Amino acid sequence: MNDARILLADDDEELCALLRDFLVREGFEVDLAHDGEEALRRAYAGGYDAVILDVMLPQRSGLELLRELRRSSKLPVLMLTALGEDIDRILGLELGADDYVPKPCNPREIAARLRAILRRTHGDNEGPRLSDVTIGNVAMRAASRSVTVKGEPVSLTGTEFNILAVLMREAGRVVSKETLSQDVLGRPLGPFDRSIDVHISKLRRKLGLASDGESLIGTVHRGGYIFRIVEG
Amino acid sequence: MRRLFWRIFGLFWAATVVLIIAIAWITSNNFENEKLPVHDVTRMDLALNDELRSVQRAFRENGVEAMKQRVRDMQRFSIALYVLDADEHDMLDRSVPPEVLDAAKNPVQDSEGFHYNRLRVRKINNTDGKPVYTAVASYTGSPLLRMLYRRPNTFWMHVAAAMVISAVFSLLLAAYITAPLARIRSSARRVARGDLSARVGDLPFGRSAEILALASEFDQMAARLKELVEGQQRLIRDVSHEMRSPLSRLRVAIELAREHSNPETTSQLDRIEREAMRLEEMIGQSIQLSRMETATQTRAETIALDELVADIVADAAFEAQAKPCALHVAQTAPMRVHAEADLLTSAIENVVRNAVNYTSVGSTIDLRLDRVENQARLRVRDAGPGVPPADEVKIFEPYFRTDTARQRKSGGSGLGLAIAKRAIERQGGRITAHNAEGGGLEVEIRVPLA
Repeated sequence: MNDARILLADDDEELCALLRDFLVREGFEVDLAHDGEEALRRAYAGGYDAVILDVMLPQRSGLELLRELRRSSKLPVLMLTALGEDIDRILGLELGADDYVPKPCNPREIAARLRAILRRTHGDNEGPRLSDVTIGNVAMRAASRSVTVKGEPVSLTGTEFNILAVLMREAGRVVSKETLSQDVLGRPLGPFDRSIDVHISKLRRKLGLASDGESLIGTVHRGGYIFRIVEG
Repeated sequence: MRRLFWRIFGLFWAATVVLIIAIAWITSNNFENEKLPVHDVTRMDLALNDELRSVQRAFRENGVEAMKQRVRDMQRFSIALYVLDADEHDMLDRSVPPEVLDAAKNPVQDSEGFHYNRLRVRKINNTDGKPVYTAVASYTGSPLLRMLYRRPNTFWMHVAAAMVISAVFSLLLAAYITAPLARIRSSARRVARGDLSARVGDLPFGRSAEILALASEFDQMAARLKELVEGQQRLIRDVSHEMRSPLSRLRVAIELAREHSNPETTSQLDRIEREAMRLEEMIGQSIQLSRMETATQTRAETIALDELVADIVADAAFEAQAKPCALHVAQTAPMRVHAEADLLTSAIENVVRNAVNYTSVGSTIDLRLDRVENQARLRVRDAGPGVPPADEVKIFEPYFRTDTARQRKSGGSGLGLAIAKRAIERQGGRITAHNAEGGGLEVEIRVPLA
């Protein structure tokens, strides 16, 4: 787990240097990229366990870069969104970011989120126990962290996979947003936190509809979400 | 604008009708008094001759009584006809004007008979051809009235046609003047309401030079206003945005400094971090405020207000515990409103937080939710010092403080209530504050029900 290699993409060079010092002290190995092109090149070159991506990057915006990256890679991405730009968070999550941290913030928060993401994507023992599950048309293979719907593979980000894993483990029972936030994102649900909702809506789109024409994942008002067990 | 339209229409219509009547009067007067080309008399003279002849005929064929009847009938057609006997006495026993007597005595011969000034004179003969009476006729009243008496249908048809045609033109004129004014006014109203992009633009109708100049000057003013307001907002936004970068670096630097800190410097670093977080909050709120002022897009949805209030109170319980003070929500019925969820949440949260800030230690903040007409009403009452009555409106202005002494103690950004006001007004609601009876400030929020 330690010495995870992180790519930090942010155009604020001074901040990058400071953050690198901090993250190195926290036990990460950090490379820097100061513009979108460079960040993408390095991310494609591989060898990273996660990317910390600032939304505002010169040449290629962070969001554009994320969209590009998600075409071929499941590399975990932690977005740095600017304070007050709430729409960026939703867009970032929509485009497949695993989590976000608003900037400015306490760098300990960045480290904690980073660890949570890495833990999830590596299926570490701290995360929810995973086992192979098949419910209706949806089959989940824990070892390969892959999901198929009606035999067709579906590409999920690490966070989406983990949310689905929790929901399928509790299939037929309501899972509160609070639980999902704690189990999957490793943090309590904030008052304006729409992250789980955004991830769920992406999951719904990817999983398609159940045989009864409804989404596989149901919403329970003020309760949370439920993976519905549908016959056929 | 409606009223101006009808006033212009009414004035112009009345003016044209008067004009038409005047012209009709003049032309029919001319028509009657013009000397005919071949004769040296006017049409009026000929018409009066006809009347006199009919009097002669009535007398000769049916006697004196028939003649008297004939004269009486003529009065109705505004013809003054006197029949005088040898003693210059009127047959109908009317008093005879001196001019008529003169006419009877000294008639002047012309090609068509006798006249005296504008009076026509004729001797009325008996069957023997001997003159018995002298008849003197003249017109009274205006030529228009004569036309009305003689041919009422034609008269009223002409009047109706004139009224209709002038009404059409009056309507066009009124529209020509008021349509562009109405358009400029609606633009002005939109600007006043905060839509600085409102312009008069091209006027499709009523393009008179003065109105066009007014419209273009209005547009220039609106453009300039927009520039200024946007410039100011951009400045605030840019400053806020730019402050985020150094603040981000500051936060990391503090964390790095902690590595080599001893207990004394740790407490100082905590202090620095707390202030940095405060700055962050202010920047965040000022960005939120400027966004609310510029964003026009709305994402309204149906929200259960009672549940939202319960959630916010639950969140605020932590801050309330630290004070300490209590939050009490009066029993409420389910209530749905149509609003933007995040903005409504942020507004209520800011109001509740403000109450927690200012209420006295150990007191209770009361929240009451009810229905007034078709609005949901939330009242949040603290047990604090309240505000001077003059400041009840001002506390919703950005960075307004009732007094400087409380500023440091409360530690808010000074934008909380300003954000609440903008957010509520965006939902078509209203937020007011007043000092409650028995002390404390009561903030009242009203939002339209879904």
